[in-house]
Amino acid sequence: MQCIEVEGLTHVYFPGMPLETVALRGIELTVYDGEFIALAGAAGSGKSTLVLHFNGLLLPTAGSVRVFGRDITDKEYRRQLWRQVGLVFQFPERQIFSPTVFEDIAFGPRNMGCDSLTVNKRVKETLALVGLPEEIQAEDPRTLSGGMLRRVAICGVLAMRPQVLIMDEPGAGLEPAARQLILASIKEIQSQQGITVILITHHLEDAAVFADRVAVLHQGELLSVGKTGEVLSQTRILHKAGLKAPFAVEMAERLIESGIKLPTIPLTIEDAARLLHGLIKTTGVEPGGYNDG
Amino acid sequence: MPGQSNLLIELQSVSYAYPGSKFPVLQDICLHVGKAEFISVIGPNGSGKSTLARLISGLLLPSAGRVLVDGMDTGTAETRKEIRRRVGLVLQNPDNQLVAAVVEEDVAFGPENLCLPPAEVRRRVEDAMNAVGLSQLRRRPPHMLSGGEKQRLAIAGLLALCPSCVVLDEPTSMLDPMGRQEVLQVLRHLSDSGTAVILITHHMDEAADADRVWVLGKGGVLVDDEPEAVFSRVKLLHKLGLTSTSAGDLAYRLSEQGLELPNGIVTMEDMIDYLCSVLK
Amino acid sequence: MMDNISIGQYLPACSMVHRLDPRAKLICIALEVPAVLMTFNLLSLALVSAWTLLAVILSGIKPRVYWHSLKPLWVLLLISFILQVFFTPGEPLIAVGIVTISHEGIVHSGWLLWRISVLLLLAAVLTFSTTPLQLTMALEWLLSPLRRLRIPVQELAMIINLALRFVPTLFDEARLLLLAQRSRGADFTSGSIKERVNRLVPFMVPLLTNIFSRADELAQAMEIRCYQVGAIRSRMRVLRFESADYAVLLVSLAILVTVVAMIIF
Repeated sequence: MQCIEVEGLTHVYFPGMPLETVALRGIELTVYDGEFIALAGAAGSGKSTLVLHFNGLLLPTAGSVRVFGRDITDKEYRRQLWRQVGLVFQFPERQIFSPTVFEDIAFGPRNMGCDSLTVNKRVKETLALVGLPEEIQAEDPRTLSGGMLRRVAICGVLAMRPQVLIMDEPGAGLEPAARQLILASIKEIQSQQGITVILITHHLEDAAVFADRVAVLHQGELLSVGKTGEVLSQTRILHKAGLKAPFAVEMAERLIESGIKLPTIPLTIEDAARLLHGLIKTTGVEPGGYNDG
Repeated sequence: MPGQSNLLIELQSVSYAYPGSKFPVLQDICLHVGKAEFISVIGPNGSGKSTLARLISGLLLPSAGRVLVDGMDTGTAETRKEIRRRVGLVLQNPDNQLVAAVVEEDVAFGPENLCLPPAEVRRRVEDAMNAVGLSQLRRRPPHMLSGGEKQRLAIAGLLALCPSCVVLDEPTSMLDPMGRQEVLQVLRHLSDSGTAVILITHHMDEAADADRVWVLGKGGVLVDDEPEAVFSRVKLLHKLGLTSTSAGDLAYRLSEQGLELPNGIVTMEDMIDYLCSVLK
Repeated sequence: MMDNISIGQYLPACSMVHRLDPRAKLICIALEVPAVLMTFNLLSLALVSAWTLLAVILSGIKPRVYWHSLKPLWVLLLISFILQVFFTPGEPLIAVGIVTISHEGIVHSGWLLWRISVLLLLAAVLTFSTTPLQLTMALEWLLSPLRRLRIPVQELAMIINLALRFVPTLFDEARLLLLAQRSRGADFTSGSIKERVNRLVPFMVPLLTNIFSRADELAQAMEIRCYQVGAIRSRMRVLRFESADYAVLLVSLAILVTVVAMIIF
């Protein structure tokens, strides 16, 4: 089932001005219901511009965007789109405005017209989803650590129970464990509740671990889209897009170059460990026989 | 360990607590930085990395202990300007540290504050822009630069003061891979040409590029060692919410599965060398 | 709002007008504005218009850009033109019901429209061709006699400079916040005035918080780069009048004198 269909989408900022920039050019992309898709690209590749169309915050200069089968140029539909498509901006904690965690998370659900019982229930459930304790509700957001605050901000969108969740670099500026925690809980929500997740990132290690499919954008054009394994092993395309291939892929390529045969290309460190363990065991060289230097 | 003549910055039992807080962010820190040394600092959020950066650059003064830059105490009012000139600080968000509406005018801000003659200001601006590769963009307004270019501009603004040490507080966390690489190349180049660099980062692969790594946690410096040694202590790093480098993590997983790996596999090169030796 | 360039924007180019001393440009504007306001016959209007047009052409920026950036203001001007036409009393030319259009109405409002357009173009040439820092330097120079009155001219210039530098940054910040809160269902456009004010909280609170934290970081960054309030600073480029600057100053002065002379004699 298609959930978002993008056809020939072009978006131009400042049309007719000296600063005129074509942010997106002829994008063709389909996002399917319930999938986890990563949009990868360097800064200025058009990732953020693209997703702003998905919940109707931007309109196409040319081409069309349909969400759940309906065109976003339909004004009535567009005005309701935020209820279905949740968007977590980069550094979302910069949008927190309430004196307590509860108030901030409740903002979205209240705007949707939920009664206070439902709101209470949703706030509680959402906090649990991202692994935050219930007691945190009464806290002043300003007293929380960076990782916790980020999760609270994400809850503000999750509590609206969007069918599509778009996240722009949710782990930026966080320590490795905190970013893993956030992405892992999003993955779990996706697989348990069947929502569609669109992850904007330039960190392909995350895409390798969590995404079902990857789309690569470069200077407003779609370079490649496909299954995570297929896209991430095309290192040449990734480099063209200004991205770094995941460590495991790059390592595999180097090994193949130096004449070592690999049965598959690993995407993640975990894959690589499994693959190499098997290989080292079967080649029969005594691992302890390796001498440093 | 740098000898006495090579010593640039010294932290002597430094503690710091924010005003109104009973609990110190940093407690009893002893560290030293040698001339032209490249040090990276890692640690979980809230471990006091930013505080440390501000203590070293003299923006904050220690609650106890002393910070010495070239032998001058950051707490002494008379030498404050001299210390400012010698230690620069780059912040995470490049947008907030650029003061002028045109690239070269921004670079000139520091030397103008030192009240240098115009010809000298121009010479320094030229040199600084060349050092970070921004000469082509001199007339651009900063908000039309990419993230990597903005951070390089922030670094150039400090270089124009001819500092002996540049401290960077997560300068790459808002950048894409190319921008990160640009900034790191500039930093490598700086340290090669004699300026000490202290880089705070969440990217372990970046940190492994340094000569030395400080691991911060629980209000203190837990490890102060070479990257090979630091990133082999995977268990400690995991306990802090950190990871090793990608290669270090892979090595750790392989050893968990019962393989015996040599110590000190931290970079891609190390890993390839090892794998080639066992698989060929 | 983001899809338009306002007249306050600097557009880099390497034109004759860009190279002029900002002080010369500022003084020219100061001379030209009263000249424009005082024009009363076609000759004087043609004179100031020609001078302005020359500046537009020599600025090296496409006329299309001027047209686009002034477009929102044109609409406003046109509306006021039409109103003027209808409400200026005089000899009726056409009368339809209660609406009359008089000869005087057309002439009067046409005149006004033309003069305001010239003024807007002048402002556009200045800001397109001069960086905010150059402008503040020029302003600082012009105001420097005030230092004797203990007015901190240098600090004021720095404040203006920083304000101009941060306009685009804060614009982006505000836009992002609006989008983010709207995507959580915030509605800033309906309800009573009291409701609307309340609804601005999710926008204003983080905006102010973020501006304060930016200001705090900016202060630190300036301190790190050895800025001290009250300390004397040097300049990378010392402003110097060249022959071209004297030339444009003379022409501007000549135009003003001519216009005044036409009024007196």
